Amino acid sequence: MPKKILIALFSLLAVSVIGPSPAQAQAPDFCWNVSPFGNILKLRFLAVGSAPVRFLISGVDDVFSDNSIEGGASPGVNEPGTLRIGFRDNAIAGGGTEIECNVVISLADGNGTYACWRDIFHDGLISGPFVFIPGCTGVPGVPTGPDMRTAR
Amino acid sequence: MLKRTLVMVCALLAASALVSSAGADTCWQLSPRGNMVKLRFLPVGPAPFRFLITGVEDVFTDRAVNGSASFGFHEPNTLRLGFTDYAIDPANTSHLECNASVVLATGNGTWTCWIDVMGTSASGDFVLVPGCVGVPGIVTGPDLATVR
Repeated sequence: MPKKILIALFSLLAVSVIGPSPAQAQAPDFCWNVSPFGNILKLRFLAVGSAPVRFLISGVDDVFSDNSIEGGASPGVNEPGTLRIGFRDNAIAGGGTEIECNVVISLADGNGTYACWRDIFHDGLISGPFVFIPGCTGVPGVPTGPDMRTAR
Repeated sequence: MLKRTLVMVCALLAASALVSSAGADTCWQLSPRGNMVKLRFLPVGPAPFRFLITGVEDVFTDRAVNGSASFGFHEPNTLRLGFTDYAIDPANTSHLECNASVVLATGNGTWTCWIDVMGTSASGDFVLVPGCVGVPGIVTGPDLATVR
């Protein structure tokens, strides 16, 4: 399975090197679980320009409710072999704010770590493993933990 | 009328040089800090032009950046940028947000960045770095994420 993940992620990067194409508009979601919470983030990457690759992210977090996501990603320079992702999960969290996240994943296996926070709340920083879910089909999925919007 | 048209054409040409959709990063230093944002622009729709921004800020660590840009209305011949720099500030559990204005004639401008709602903002010169090649670059000042 790690080999498949590797192929998928490097295909993603390869596409960006080739340049934007109509096929990208039909790109599948790449999904990650924000462990130990039950949220699953389904992110779609739009390559912008040529190498070094940069991506715009559009996604959804819909295990518990339908929340839109937008952000960006680029390969690590200080930490080669990683993809750096930053995004906003427009979930309305307690206190009337959204969730923002900074993520590092390894291109070798698709897994990584995340730090998410509710802006302005000092108790908002949470972190943990960012677990790649192969074969994401876009359905909400089965919750495997609490909603990170409300459980802290 | 002719002068206005010429100004508009020049502005668009300057803008297209700055925000090439073909893909290279356009880089600016947040002077006097050492941070350098490398931004890439995706045009969206017809005129008046709007851009989505995706980028990186990797002089100190690898941080993703995203935002948007559009031409100045109240200040013609400027490009107005707004973006989020996903630098983690554990002390405040927040990130950096920035507002920049660039003069199309030179590519230089000014920036203001802040930790959202914390009231700790900073500002300075937004200095175009020609020929940015995507490497981290040489550190010329402190990290905006930690020094304000």
